[in-house]
Amino acid sequence: MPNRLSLSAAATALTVALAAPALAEGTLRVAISTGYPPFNVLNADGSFGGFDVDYALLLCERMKMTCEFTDIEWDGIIPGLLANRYDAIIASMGITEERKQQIAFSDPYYQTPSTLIARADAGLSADAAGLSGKAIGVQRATGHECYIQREWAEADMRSYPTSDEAYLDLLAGRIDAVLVDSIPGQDWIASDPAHAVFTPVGGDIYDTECFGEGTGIGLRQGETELREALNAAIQQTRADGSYVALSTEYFGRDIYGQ
Amino acid sequence: MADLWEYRWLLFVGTGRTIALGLSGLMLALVIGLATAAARIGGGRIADRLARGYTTFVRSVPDLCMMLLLFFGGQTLLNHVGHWTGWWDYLEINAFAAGALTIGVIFGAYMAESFRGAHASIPRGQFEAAAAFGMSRTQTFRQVTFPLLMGYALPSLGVNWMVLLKSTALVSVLGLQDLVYFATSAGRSSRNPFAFLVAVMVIYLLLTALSEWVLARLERRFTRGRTLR
Repeated sequence: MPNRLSLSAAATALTVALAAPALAEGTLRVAISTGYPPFNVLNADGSFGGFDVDYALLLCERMKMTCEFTDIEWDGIIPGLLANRYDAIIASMGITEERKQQIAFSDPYYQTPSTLIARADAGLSADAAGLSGKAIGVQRATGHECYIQREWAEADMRSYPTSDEAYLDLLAGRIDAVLVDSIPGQDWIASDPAHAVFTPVGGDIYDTECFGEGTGIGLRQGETELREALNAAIQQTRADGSYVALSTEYFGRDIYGQ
Repeated sequence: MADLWEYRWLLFVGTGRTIALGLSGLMLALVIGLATAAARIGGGRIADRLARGYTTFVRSVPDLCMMLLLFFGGQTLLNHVGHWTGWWDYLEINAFAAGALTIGVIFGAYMAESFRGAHASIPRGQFEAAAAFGMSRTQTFRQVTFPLLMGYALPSLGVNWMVLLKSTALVSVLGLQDLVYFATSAGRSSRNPFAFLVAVMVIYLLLTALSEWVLARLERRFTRGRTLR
């Protein structure tokens, strides 16, 4: 009775699908967004890597859960969380007031400054007068937009879908500088000999109002249990030294901040 | 080039998924398009109104907007329904199925217009002749209307298919890993975006060339004997 058999198999599959709870026992569904080295990387064999991925694995290990990664475009990452397609965003997302209106955040798991990058020979000075009328590229919907609008209102701000398009325009000479997070920024300068003519200008920029309190794990509002479990796990990785080991492996220093 | 070679397997997988998604979307779009055209041509007043509303609405909303609405909005709606009724906690919409369905719904509207236009081009005499032979409605459709319809509709369906194939790139927003998704992600991860963009261009060009060849053959088949008209 092949028909009966396949029918019951389908029925079982349906029941399993219906019974699958939002937080499957022992599985943490994590969203990342590859294409943001050295934090989120797509490897040639299709696997994921980078600091965020490795740190997520560390947290899952502490919580005795299995990480299940979903790679998703940056623009769709919050809608997907809200639609319950995964439980946590571990993708270098800055904790900002604007995002807090939609989602909740864990405690920050790293905090890095921002920096302005421009051609070394351009003689740009990173202040309101020096940047007046200069074209500065930023990734849209980030704290960098907020900072430029507040501090360098006279500058010509150009917003891009991701910082990569801003870098391309910087290389093409269409803009004078980019405002980015310092680690990916320095990584970009070092990644290609052609980028060596660019340099950080004006040093590190810290700003709680625009850049938030650091980078956190994005969660749905009201999921208090998961948030506390993650916060506890973050503290554990701080206490047992595994955080510092991982951070040193990637960046040669501890990026936790404070 | 070294980067491209390193990521060749992902590009291959992505191309396969793009083709699979395009073809599934096409099948759905053709079915929806035929049904909608039928409703507009032979349906009653209500069916005509509904079909007209659907084609107008879908064709006036940007594809990307429509996809986000159907996919994320649909999932959220489904979650709410499950919550209210208590029947399920979370039912995940499969990303591939959702992508194909979204493309089918969007391009069904364009297909419907192509079919409607093609139907209007069929000389009335053909239907009168079928009636004179005593053919039933089904017989008329299968042996007279459909072959003629396809002949007239094919050029326009072909254009729709080309646009549809390229629209599959938008589904990467839904978390579906198609060719464009792998290429942009690999391009950023290896800090070599242009090489991957050129590769995508070449692959799409090949797919389009292949489509044109198939369409030309189909057109020759469905317009056989049209000179007898």
